[in-house]
Formats: sequence, structure tokens, C-alpha cells
Amino acid sequence: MTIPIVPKLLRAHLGELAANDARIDGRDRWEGRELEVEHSVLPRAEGSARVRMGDTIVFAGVKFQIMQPYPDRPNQGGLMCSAEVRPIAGRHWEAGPPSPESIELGRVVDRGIRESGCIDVDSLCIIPGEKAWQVILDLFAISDDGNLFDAFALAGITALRNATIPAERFEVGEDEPLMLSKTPIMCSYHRVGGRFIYDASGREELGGDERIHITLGDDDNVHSLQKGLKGIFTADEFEEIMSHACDRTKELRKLIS
Amino acid sequence: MTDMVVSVASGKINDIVVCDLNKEEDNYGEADLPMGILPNSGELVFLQMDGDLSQEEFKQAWDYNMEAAQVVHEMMVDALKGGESQ
Repeated sequence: MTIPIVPKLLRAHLGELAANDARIDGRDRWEGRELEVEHSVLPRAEGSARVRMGDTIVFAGVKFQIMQPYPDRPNQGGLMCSAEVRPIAGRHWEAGPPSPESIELGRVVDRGIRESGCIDVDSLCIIPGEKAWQVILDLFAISDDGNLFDAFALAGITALRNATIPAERFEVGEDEPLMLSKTPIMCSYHRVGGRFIYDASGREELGGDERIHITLGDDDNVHSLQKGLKGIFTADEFEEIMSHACDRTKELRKLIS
Repeated sequence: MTDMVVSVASGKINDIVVCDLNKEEDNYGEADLPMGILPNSGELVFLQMDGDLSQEEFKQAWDYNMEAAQVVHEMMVDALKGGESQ
């Protein structure tokens, strides 16, 4: 990722807007952008989804492969999640090996899904110590207008919820749906103009500061938290964010269930 | 210098929320919440969490960290002043 030049004018403008409790695209502080979620959009994948949040567009695809279980966990399969953002998504993304930013995207999404325990890794075992399913979740950004984290997380969990284990093709039984016991949902917040806002656009990310990612499961259980970029925040600010995340994750969960 | 960063972590083992996990507790426990705290202002510079905590458990782990940060901070100040608590 090229280091974006942060225009002083943009920061100043975002600050002025914040002072009047306004945002650059007219949204409320806690308002998300127009959202579209579709599943099973890629015929060659075993599970897939497309998510559009404003001008941010991403795809998620699920594939399965047979792995040998790790020696210390002979009865378990695995999950592998990675994100790719190519220059097609935006001119600040470069071609070449994965950038630290895209690695972080994959890891933060991976942690929320993995730590929620929504995939029963024991159920992925085919023959203990010999064969188990590895779930591969690939995330691709087509257009980056900010908050790729939430778009990837939502596309990822939607694709997994609609995935089929291709046992027939591998000659190890009959095809069956991948069972998920929970639906972890991520909400991300950026400090823009001195206060936190939900679902930052590209310009808000460019002229903003630190960010906080929260993944909540069913019953509002916390599965992963991550702070990104430099900055300091107060306990009160966090409480406000957490309270919004509890409401918003429920809405999003309903949307994809 | 207006403050010193104190790092503390709490987590959950067998459904019990505990402060200051050791290696085994961290590896085999159910959750882990490390925080970087500025004890004078109570502000946070670092926050990360993995695992499964209900909202009540999360609040408890958070409070443990905030409390522990004050204790560690006192020891840091003592040590810098010449080590009364050494």
C-alpha cells in the first residue's frame, strides 16, 4: 500500500463537520451506508457472498481441501482465512506480494470467526490423524471506499453459512452443509474529527485516526477486539462504541440469517 | 512525561474471569484481554481480545485490568523514586 498523503484540508474539513456533529457524506455518526448482501454468487466456489457497503464492494469465497490434522490436534480440521486487495480496488493498493494492510484485514476477520468457535473443528475430522477438512475462506476487494474490515467480515460469515462440504467430489461421503453454531459479526469504528464514527468511508479513513474493531457473537458475547493505528481513547468512548455494536450486530445478523 | 503506560491482561479459564494469566492459562484458557492503560487518565492506548466473554465477563475482565493497572503503576512510581517497595 502506498503511503497516502493526508491532505491537511481534508482533516480540517472533517474536524469542522464533526464540530457540528455532521459527516462528509451527510450520515449520522452511528449510521452505516446502504448495504447489500448476496450469497451463492460464485458458481465455482463451495460457498460465496458479495457485500456492497456504499462504494465498497467485496467478494468472499469458500473452498475445501483435505489436510492431514496437526499432530497435537489429530481430531480437528482447520480454517484458513486470507484477504487480497489489488489495485483494482483503489489506487493506493499496489500489485505484488500481500501488503501488511491486507494481511491485517485477513487476520482480524479470521480471529473473529475462529475465536467465536462457530465452526466446530472436531466435526471437520474425516479419519483421526489422517484426514480432515480445511476450510479456506478467501476475501477479495473489488472496490475500496473504506471499512473493508466490516465488509470482509460480513461477506466471510455469509459465505461460510451457505457453504457445502464437497465430500462426494473427494470420495469421502455425501455432500453436506457446513454447520455453523454462531454468527459472529464485526463492527468497526474510526476516530474522525476527534470523535468515533461507525462505518468510515474512504475519505474518513484517510483523514481519520485510530480505529477499533469489535466482533460480537449471538447473545452479545465478545469474541475479538482489535485497536488499529496510533491513538488514545477513553473508557467512556469505548462504552459508547460497545453499546452501538451490540445493537448493530443484531441488525446485521438478522439480515444474513 | 504526563503518564506511564501499564500493560495488563485478564482472561477466562473454566468460566472464571481471572487477572494476569500465565502461559498455560493463556494457551488453554477461553479468553484473553490485554490492555495498555494510562493510569493517571484512565485512557487506553492498546486493546485486543480473543475468545469468548459474555458482556458481564468482559466488564469484569476490564475492571480487573483497570484495578491492576493502578497497583502496577504505584510500584513503578515507587521503583523510580528509589524502591520503597523493592
